[in-house]
Amino acid sequence: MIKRETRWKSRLAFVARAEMNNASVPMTEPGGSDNDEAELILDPRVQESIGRSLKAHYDDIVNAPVPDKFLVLLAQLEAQEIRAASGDMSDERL
Amino acid sequence: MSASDFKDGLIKEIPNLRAFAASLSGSMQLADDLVQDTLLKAWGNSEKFEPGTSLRAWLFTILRNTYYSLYRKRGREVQDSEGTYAERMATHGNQESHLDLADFRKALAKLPEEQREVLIMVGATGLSYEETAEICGVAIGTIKSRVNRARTKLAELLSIGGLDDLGPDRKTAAAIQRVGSEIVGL
Repeated sequence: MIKRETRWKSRLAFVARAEMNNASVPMTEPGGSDNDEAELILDPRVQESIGRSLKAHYDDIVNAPVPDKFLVLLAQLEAQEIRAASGDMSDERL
Repeated sequence: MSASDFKDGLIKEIPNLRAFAASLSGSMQLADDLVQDTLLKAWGNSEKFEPGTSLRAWLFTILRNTYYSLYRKRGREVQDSEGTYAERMATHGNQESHLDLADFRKALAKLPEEQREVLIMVGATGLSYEETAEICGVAIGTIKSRVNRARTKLAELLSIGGLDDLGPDRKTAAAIQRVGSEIVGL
């Protein structure tokens, strides 16, 4: 959360600086390695919008009804295991 | 962990497995095959799951490995047409957000796999960067870098600045269009 806020501020400062210089701000900042967290920063509002769409896409499927076949499959697997276990027990009794 | 607890855990994760599998494969039909394989493998290897660790992360690892070893090629061959994919998956919401969601999914499907999977894991599933890094077998820095590249590429594909292409929230879209014009001079 704190990190995000800091990014917001640094991004806004970046935009403000560029506006003062009357220059256009690139979508991505040049340079930066894989591990450089500040390498590539989209406008936070763009990030938020993408984040919302990602959740909308994902949650749409998460909230869809689960096909019965998965529950049937797991019930069968469990029943198999119970049968195997009780089979072992009756063997012991014999 | 008893078999019954393990089963309950698996049942709870099915919706997330389906959403992740669909995001990976781009097809709801392949996704459900992939989830079925994942459940079978998880059941057969339940003794390898360490109670107290994240079941979701463990299952995602299995699903992802299964996808890359068995499904990736099939996915490319039989991938649903974009329309079918979007229609089948958009289950609720009004027409407007339905269209936005369909557009977003088309753009998402165009991302390279390695970027798409991490964006989904970090951005939608509730998994941490650490867990995502572990699932993918790469360093956290690599995950962060892929997420950033994925976002930038998505912004490009959705041609940010175009009100109709942006996503469910029009107010945000409008704000971004303004910001976008300032930033990229559109």
